[in-house]
Amino acid sequence: MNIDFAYDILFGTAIVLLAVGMFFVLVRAIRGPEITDRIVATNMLGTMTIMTICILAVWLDESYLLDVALIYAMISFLAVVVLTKVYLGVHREHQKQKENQEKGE
Amino acid sequence: MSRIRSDYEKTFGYRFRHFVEGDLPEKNEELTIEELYARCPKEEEEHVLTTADLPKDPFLHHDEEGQADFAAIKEQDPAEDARRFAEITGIRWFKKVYQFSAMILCICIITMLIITVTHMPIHGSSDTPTSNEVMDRYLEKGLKETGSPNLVTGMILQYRAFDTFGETNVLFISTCVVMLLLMAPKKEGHKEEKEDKKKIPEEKFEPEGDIILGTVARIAVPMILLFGLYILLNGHLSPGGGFSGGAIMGAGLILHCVAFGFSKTARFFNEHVYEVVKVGSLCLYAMIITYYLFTGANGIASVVPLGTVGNIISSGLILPINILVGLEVACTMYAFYAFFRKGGF
Amino acid sequence: MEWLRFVIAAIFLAGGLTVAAISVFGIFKFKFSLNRMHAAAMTDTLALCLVLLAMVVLCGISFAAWKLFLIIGFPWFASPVSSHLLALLEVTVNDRLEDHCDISEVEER
Repeated sequence: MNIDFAYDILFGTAIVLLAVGMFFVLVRAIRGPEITDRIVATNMLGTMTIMTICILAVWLDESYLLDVALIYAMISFLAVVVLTKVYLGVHREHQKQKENQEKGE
Repeated sequence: MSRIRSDYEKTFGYRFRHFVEGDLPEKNEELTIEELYARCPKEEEEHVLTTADLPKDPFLHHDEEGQADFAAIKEQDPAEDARRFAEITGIRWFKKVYQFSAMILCICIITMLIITVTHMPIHGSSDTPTSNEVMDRYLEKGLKETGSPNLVTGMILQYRAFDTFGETNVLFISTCVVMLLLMAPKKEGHKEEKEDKKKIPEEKFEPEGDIILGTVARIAVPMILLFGLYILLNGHLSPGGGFSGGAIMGAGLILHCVAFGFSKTARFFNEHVYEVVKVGSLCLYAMIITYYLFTGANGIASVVPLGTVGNIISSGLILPINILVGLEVACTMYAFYAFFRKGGF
Repeated sequence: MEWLRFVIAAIFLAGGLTVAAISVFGIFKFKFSLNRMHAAAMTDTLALCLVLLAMVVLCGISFAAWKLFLIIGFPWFASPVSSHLLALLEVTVNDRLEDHCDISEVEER
C-alpha cells in the first residue's frame, strides 16, 4: 500500500467527519433556544473550521493556510467577546429603563 | 510609567502636531456655555420662540379654537383655504406617485439585469473576456514588471491600482456617511443636553470592566496588532495585503476597546488621530496614483527600483500602498464599531 | 519510519476527532446552555490540541510547526475567557436560573 494513498484516506476521512460534525453544530446554532446556545455553537463551529483549515494546510502542503487559521481563531474569539459584551450592555440598559418606568408609575 | 517632560512644547513632535492640526487652539480648553456666550459679539436680545409665536394651523389644531380659526379663515380668505387643501392632498398624491414610480423603476432595472445575464457567454468558452490577452500578460510578465511573487497583490496594486483607489474611496465615503447619520451631538446644542450627556455613565455603552478579559486582552491585543502588521507588510510576498491586514488591526483595536472601555482607547486613538490617519493615508495614496498615471500616460519609466524579488523592501510602490490601504481599513473597522455602539469616539 | 509517523499522526487525529464527536453529541444531549458550554469547550481545547499535534507530527520541525503551536496556544488563552463571558451573560440574562441549577449559596452580583 502506497503511503500517499494512506495519507489521502486519513485526511479525507478526517475532513468528512469534521464536516458532518459541523453540520450538526450548525443545527444547534439555528435551533438553540437561548442566545447563549447560539453563541456557544458558533464558537464551536469556528474551532472546527480551524481544524479543517489546518488539516487542509498539511494535506496540500501550503503553510500559508495556517495564517488563515490563526486569523480565524482571533476573529471568532473577538466575535464571542463583542457579542456578549454588546448583549450584556443592551440587557442592562433595558433593565434600567424598566426600573425607571416602575419608579415613575 | 513614563516621565513627563516639561519642555514638551518645544519639541519637534509637538510642533509637527500643531502643523498638522493647522494651529488649532488648545483642545483641552474647557469653556462653559456662559463663557462662550460672553465671547460672542453682542447682538440684540435673543427672541425666544414660544407656542404663541407659531402660526396657527387649522388642520393641526382640532380644538374649538382651531375650528373657530378655520371657520374664520374660510370666511375671510377662500383662496387661502383652497391652497391649504391643495397642499395636503398634493402631498398625499405625491406619496402615491412616488411609490408607484419607485416600483416601476425597480422592475425596469431587474428586467435589464436579467436580460444582461441571459446574454452572458457560456462558461469555459474561449472567446470570453476572462481568457483574453490580459491574463497571459499578467501570468507571463507579472513577476518581472511588478516584482511581487504574490501575483494578486501585484495585479490589484500595480496594474489595477486605480481601481483599488476607488475601493479605498468607497470605504472613506461610507465612514463619512455613517458619521453623518450616527455621530452624537457633542459640543453644540443646549446646556440641558450637555448635562444629560454627562449623566449617562460609561456603563451604558460598556458593562463594567472585566478583570479576566482585561488580563487576556493585555496579552492578546499586541499579538493581534503584530500579526496584522505581519500580514500587512508581507502583502507582496504571501497571501494577505492591505485589506486583510487592516481588518486584523481593526479587530485588535475593537478588542482593546471592548476590554478596557472607550475612554482607555481614546487615549491613543481618538477622533483627532482618526481624522489625520484617514485623510492623510487617502491623500498619500492619491499622490501615488497620480505618479503612476503621470509616468504611465507619458511613457516615462518609473524611477522607483523594484528591488530583489522576495525581500520585504522590494517591488516598488506596492509596499507603501499596502500600508496606506491597511491604515484606512483599520480606521474604518474601528470607526464602524465605535459609531454603531456609542455614536462617537 | 514513514509508517511510524503516519501511525502516530493517525492515533492523535483519531483521538481528536473522537473528542470532537463526543462534544457534538454533548451539545445535543444536555438541555441547559451552561452544560452545553462544558461540552463545547472540549472542542476548543482538547480536540483542537490533539488534531493539531497530529499535524505537528506530520510537519516535523519547521516554521509551520511553530505556527501550529501558536494556533494551539491562542484558543487556550481565548476559550476560557469566552466561556467566562458566556456564563456571565447567561447568569445575567436568564430569569429562571434556579430551575436548572442550585444558586442558593451564590450571592447576587
